[in-house]
Formats: sequence, structure tokens, C-alpha cells
Amino acid sequence: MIILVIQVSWYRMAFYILRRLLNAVLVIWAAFTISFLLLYLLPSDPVSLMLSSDTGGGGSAVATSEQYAMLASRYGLDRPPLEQYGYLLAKAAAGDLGMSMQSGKTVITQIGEALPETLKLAALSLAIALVIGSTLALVASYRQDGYLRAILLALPPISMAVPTFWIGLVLLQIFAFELRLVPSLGNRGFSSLIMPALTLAIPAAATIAQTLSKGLDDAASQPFVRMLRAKGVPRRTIYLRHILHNASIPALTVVGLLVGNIFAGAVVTETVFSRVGIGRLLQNAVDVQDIPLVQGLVVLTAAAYAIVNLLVDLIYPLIDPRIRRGVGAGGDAA
Amino acid sequence: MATELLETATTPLLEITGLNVIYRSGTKTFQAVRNLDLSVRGGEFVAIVGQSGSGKSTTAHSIIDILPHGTSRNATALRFNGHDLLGYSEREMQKIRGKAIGFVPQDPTVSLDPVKTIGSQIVEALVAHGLATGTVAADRALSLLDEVGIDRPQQRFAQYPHEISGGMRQRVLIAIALSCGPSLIIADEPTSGLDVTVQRKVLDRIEKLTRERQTAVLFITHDLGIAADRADRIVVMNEGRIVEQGSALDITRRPQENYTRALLADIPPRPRIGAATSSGTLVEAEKPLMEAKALHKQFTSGWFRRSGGIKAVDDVSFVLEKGRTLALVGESGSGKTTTARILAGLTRPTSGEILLDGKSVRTPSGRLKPDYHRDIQFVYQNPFSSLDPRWKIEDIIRDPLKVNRIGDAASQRQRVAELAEAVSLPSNLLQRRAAELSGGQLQRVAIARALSLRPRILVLDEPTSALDVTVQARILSLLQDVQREYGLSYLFVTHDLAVVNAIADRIVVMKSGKVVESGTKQDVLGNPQAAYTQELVAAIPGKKLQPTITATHAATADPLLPA
Repeated sequence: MIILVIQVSWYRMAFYILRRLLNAVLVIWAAFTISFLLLYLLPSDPVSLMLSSDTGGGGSAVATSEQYAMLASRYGLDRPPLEQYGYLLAKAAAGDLGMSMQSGKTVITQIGEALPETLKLAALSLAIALVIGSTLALVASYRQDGYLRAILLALPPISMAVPTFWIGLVLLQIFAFELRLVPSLGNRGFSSLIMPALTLAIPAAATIAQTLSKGLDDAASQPFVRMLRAKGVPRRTIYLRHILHNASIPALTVVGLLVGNIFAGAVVTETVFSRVGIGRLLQNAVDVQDIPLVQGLVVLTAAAYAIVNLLVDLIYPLIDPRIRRGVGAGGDAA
Repeated sequence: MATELLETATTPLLEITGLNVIYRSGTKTFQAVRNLDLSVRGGEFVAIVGQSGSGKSTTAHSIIDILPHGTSRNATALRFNGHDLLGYSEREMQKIRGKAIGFVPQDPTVSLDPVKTIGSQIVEALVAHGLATGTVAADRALSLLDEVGIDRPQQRFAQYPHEISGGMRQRVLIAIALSCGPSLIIADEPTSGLDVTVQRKVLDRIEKLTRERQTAVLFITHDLGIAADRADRIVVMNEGRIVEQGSALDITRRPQENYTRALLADIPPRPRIGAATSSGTLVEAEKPLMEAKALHKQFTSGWFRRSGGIKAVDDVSFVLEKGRTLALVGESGSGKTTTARILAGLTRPTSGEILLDGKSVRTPSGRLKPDYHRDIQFVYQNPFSSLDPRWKIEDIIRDPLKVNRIGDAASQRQRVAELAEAVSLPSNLLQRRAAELSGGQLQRVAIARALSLRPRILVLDEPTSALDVTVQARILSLLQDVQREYGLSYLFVTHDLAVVNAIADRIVVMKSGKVVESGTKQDVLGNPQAAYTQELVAAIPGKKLQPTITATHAATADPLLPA
């Protein structure tokens, strides 16, 4: 009997994971399709752009129509749109996102060069955001009254209202130019990573702090907390073992969404700090209308987003037993 | 420790004198407990009885100082087993809570951490007080689960609160309260959300285990019947003060205060097996107004789909007569509410038919006839959640008239005033918002709203279960007045057989979607045939109250009898 129950729940768990995976694939496919449509509809002629940059600045040598036709056919731009779409989708599914029109390298190679830098930046800023945000929320919520709580709870909305690039510029001004503690620009080891990571982390930390402190306050006002006090459990244990666990469930959703924000924020931050990375790559690709590269980056962002949310969905059942039960089920059946 | 020395007959285990508790919210203050003196002796079962807002739960919480933050508590003395609790710090109180004084909370469905296993929440109490750790603590928790009457403790240990029923969760909470061997247990309305048969089992368990261990119990309840059945001593509270206290027998048989007498009189009389019930006019066969024929309802959502679904309603038939009350009785999950919703046209039956005046209420295509909702109206269980708190009372009652475009603005207002009068709702309340009214007033509003379209049938889904006993008595008598005046038929859904006894003509008893017994009130309550009905009747609290109640009722009914 017990074994049967476990087997059923394993079956349901596998079904749950499969469904989430399919969702992720669907999101990536949708991003590919929408970006193809948008870029195809864009009123520009990538081939002429390529030819003008190939001939280098002078602009006197007008490319011949044979050259034009050759380039167009090399990138498949001379075929009907549906055929182009099918061809590109089949290639993308096999892991080939095509050639960058500007650099002549494959899109995968270019992304591969830039990605580690952005991943480092994103990971560090997420870590900083988690530490600052959670600490702020815990301290503010643990304090039941007083000015400290009021001040701490006022910080998140303020820092969320401030634009990322402004935070970046202020940090640059203070730490790089005035105090000269860290290098201002470029990718020069860990010290050059701190400021851009901090720039990205501040609004993310604010969001985490806000969601988590709301979650902590909600959990702390639940009747089971009074029961824990009546049981003689010390307040700190109640907070760390029970309230934080309950509050982390809504906060986890927000962390999933934040990863998307951090990727988007990387565009601005990498530009402000002149760093190599996905954000800079995207900005340049859009500037020169390097369609395969832009599309590759859009798909990459969608994939990152889908993977992070897939991870979040897989973590949920681990921290919330009610989801574990409902996994694969309609919901209120239990 | 000098515990044994202090537990002599002369020194009470718990002694409170001059307790005051004041709640604060913003600049407003509210004094919940006023100058209260209370004592509990070792091994004694003391019940504090009062209505909502009487300060009984606040008193319980203030003993172990688990009042909300910012509440002020002061007293002349608060002594427990030789400890002066008033002078204790939070850290010192932690050692008292759970270990010396156990606590059983009000609502078991929200009193356990939803993300921790049942076992770990029992073990936690033992660990917090340094009584056991590891496998020793786990073994202790398992035997506690067994003692409070939970089957398969090994399996339950690893389950989460949402995986077990409310009654079982309350047993787990009792296990936690007993875990550290306290000399006093405070039980704060421990059974108010439970079905009557479950309530009886849980109370039996509390009584048995505490008597065995010589544990004193301070039992908080709104139900004088439960107090009379279980307690050695009863303390009656009203508006933060003690009205009177004494032995359970004295309070129920020889109440000194008018308030206590009123409280006793408001308890609906318990039906007695083998005896004719109080309002003994036999129901003559009337022309059926409405007929439910072989109703079935199968819910096929989620993971029940493959197994064929749950049968919420399984072959239910009955007849509702004009001007009469049919009570649909059962516990949670019996299908009584689903049946009522089918009748009101809110839920579509899987199969079966409803006839009104002998004609089907659905068109051949299965759609509900358009004016059906005018004939039958619904009154919900909880008026706090079924009425929009931001709406004005006048607009709430007027809404059905507006929606159905009946009359102009002036005649609608006129009708609202009539309805308010019919349900004895003071007219100055019509301009207030729902959030400003009490539960009893709101239920009157809900009844007025239901009456606005001049229906012939009212479906009343536990309309008094969220109300205090005094308010309940008034709403029940209002419903009877309204029924007489308008010739209404009621379908009264409830789990409370005492209420049924007060209001019903016919009774249908349901269990697991099926009708187990039906007939006139006299037959079903006076001589129940089905084992389940017998169990339900036996589980109604207030056995020891019976002689008093019949006496008071007889007294009010017959002025010639001495009071």
C-alpha cells in the first residue's frame, strides 16, 4: 500500500518535470519565432549594410549585383520567408544559430566568448542581491517596532525607483574616480567586477527585500506562530526554522523573475562600465542590425529565463510539501 | 524543586488576581479583560464560558503571555505553581510555555506549520525543553500520537498537516500540549471548528488523558453545554468581566445571575431519544411544493478523474412542503451543501430532477428556467464573507431588485424599508456599510436580501453556525416569524441537531452523499433508526443541561408552573 503511494507520486513527479520541460521548450521556440518575425519585418537591408562595411568607410566602391546576390544567398535571404524560417529553425534546433553578419564568426562562437563574463556578473550580482535583500528583510521583520524597522522598510522602494545607469554612474564617481579603490572600466579580474555587480544587485536586492519582508510579516502573523510560542520554542528558532521557510515560497518566484531583470540590466551596466559581455554584444548587434546575432541573443535570453524558472519550479516541491502533493494534479482535489 | 510542597490542597495551581488586558491599535485602545480573579487547582477541570468578545481567549493567552505585540497586561498577582509569572522575562516564560503549561489552540487547521511534518512539530517541543533528542524524541512522539488516538502513527509521523483531517490535526496539537507532561493545559475552544461526532471524540480524549495524569485543564468555550458536560467548575464571562463562577452543577441548575440564565435559555433544547420533542405538533401531509428526485452529483476534477470521481451526492430524493422546514443534516463531506446548491440552481446535478409545483425547473435543453431564482433564494453560512464589506446595507438589500429591474428607485427604497422591518433591522443601519455591523445584524441583512424577490423557498446553509448562541436564538426565532408571515418553505442545511430540533418539521440525514434516514422530526430525533443518526444525537453536547433547559422552557411556556 505504502509502496504504491510512493510509486504514484514518483509517476506524478516525472509527469510534473516533463510538463515544465515542455513549457521551457515552448518559451524558447516562441522567442525564436517572434524574433524572426520582428527582424524579418524590420525595414532594413542587412546585405547592403554588410557590403558597405566590407568595403570599409570610403563608400565609393558600389558593390556589384553579383556580390549582392552571392551574399544574400549565403545567408539565405533570397528565399521566401517561410522557407527561411523553416531552414533557420531546423538549424537552430540542431544547435547552429548561423553566422554573424558583421564579424564572420558563428553566432555560437561570439556568444561563447561573451557569455562567461556576463554569467560571472549575473551570478555575483544575484548573490549580492540575495545576501543584502534577505538580511534587510530578516532584520526589519525581526524587529517588531521602532525606527530601524521603518527605515529598513523604506529602503527597497527608494532603491527600486532609481534607474540602474544612475546607480552605476554614482558608484563610478565615488569608488573609481574619487576614492580610486577599484578600476573604472573593462574586464580586469574580480576587482573590476565588483562595481557593475553592485549596480545590478541594488534594485534586485530591493525587490527581494520587499517580497521577503512582506512574506515574513505574513507568515509571522499566522496562527501557527502563536502555537509555536505556546510550545516554548525560542523566537529566533521560530523565525529561522518556520517563518523564513514559509516566507521563502513567494520570494522564490520573485528570484526567478529577477534573473531575467539582471540579464536585461546587463545591457545598460556593461555599456556604462565598458565591459565585454552579452549585454554589450546585444547592443552592438542591434546597432549594426546583425540579424543572426540579435536573434541568437534573444533565444539565449529566453533560454536563460526558461531554465531559471524551470529550476524554480523544481525547487518549489522541495520547500513546499503542499505542492509536492498537488504535483501533476488539478489543484483542489486534495 | 519544591513543586510537591506547593501542590497542597490550600494553594491553587494557578492563581490570577486583578488581571487587566488592554489591546491597542493605532491610537484606539480596547480593554478586553477587566479586573479578573481566577484560580485553578491541581487536577481540576475549569471551563471559562462566554460569547465572542467576552475576553475568555484573551484571559487564556495572557496567562502564558502570548498576546499580540503591543498589548498591555497587568495584574496584582499571576502565580503558577509557585512561580511569579508577572516578573518573568521572555526567556523564563519560554521554559514555562509548553513544559509546565500546555496549550491547545482554537483552529487546528491553521495552528500547525504547513511546511513541517507532524512528527517534527511534536519532537520540536521535546527538544525546545531539553527533554529528549534524536530517536528518543521520535519514539516519544510516536507513542504520543498513539495515545491521542491517531492510527498508523509511523506513517502519520512523516505526513504534513494538509494530508490529515481537522480532527486529526487537533489530536496532534493535543499530543504537543501533553508532550512535556505539563501540570496545566489551557484549551482555547479546541473543538469549535469540528464536526459534532469528532468534537465528542476529541473532548473525550482530552478528558481521559488529563484525568489520568492529574493534569489541570483551563477550558475556554462558547458552548455552555460542553462546559456542563465536562467541567468541575464553570466561570461565566461577559464583556471582560466574570459574571459568576461556581461548580458546574450550581451554574447550570441554580444560576444566580440574569446573564447566565439568559445564556442557558438561549441554548436550543437537546432532543431526547424515546421522548416526544418539545414542539410536538404533528406535521400533516401537505401538497409538495418542491421535489428532489434521485439527485446525483459526481465531481471529476484532478486526480480523481481516472478512478471515476467522488460521488458528492448519491441518489438523494426528498419532498419539501409548502410553509414547512426540511432540515438537511450531516457532517462535513456528507454532501448536504452540494445538495442544497443543486436545489438552488447553483450547481448542476450529474443526473436527477427537481420539480417545482410538479414541473421540472429545467427546460428540455437542460437550462434553468429564467425566473427560477425568484422562487428560490440562498442564505449563506458566514455573513462576514457573503456580503461585500464596503457596500451600504440599503444597496445590498436593494441589489436583487435592481438586477431584476423591479420597480423604480422610489418603490425599491420603499421595499428595502419594509424588508428591514420584517427582519427587525433598525432603519438607521441602512446607511451603514456592511463592515460596521455585527454578525447577527449581517445575517438579518442576508435574510432581507434573500426575501427581496418574494421567493417561495429559502435555502439556508448553516445560517447560524458562525453566530453566538444568543444571536443564534434570535435569528432562529426571526426565521420562524418570517416563515409564518410569508408562508415560506425552508431547506435548512446544518450539522447541529439541537438547531434542527428547534426549527425543523422534517429531517433528511446524509452521510457520504447518501440519505441514511429521513422522516418527521419526531420520528428521526425521538426514535432514530440508523446507527449514524443515533451517534449524531448522542454527540450533541449538553447532556447534563437537559433538566434545566426543559424546566426553563416549560416555565416560559406555562406561566402557572413555578419558575
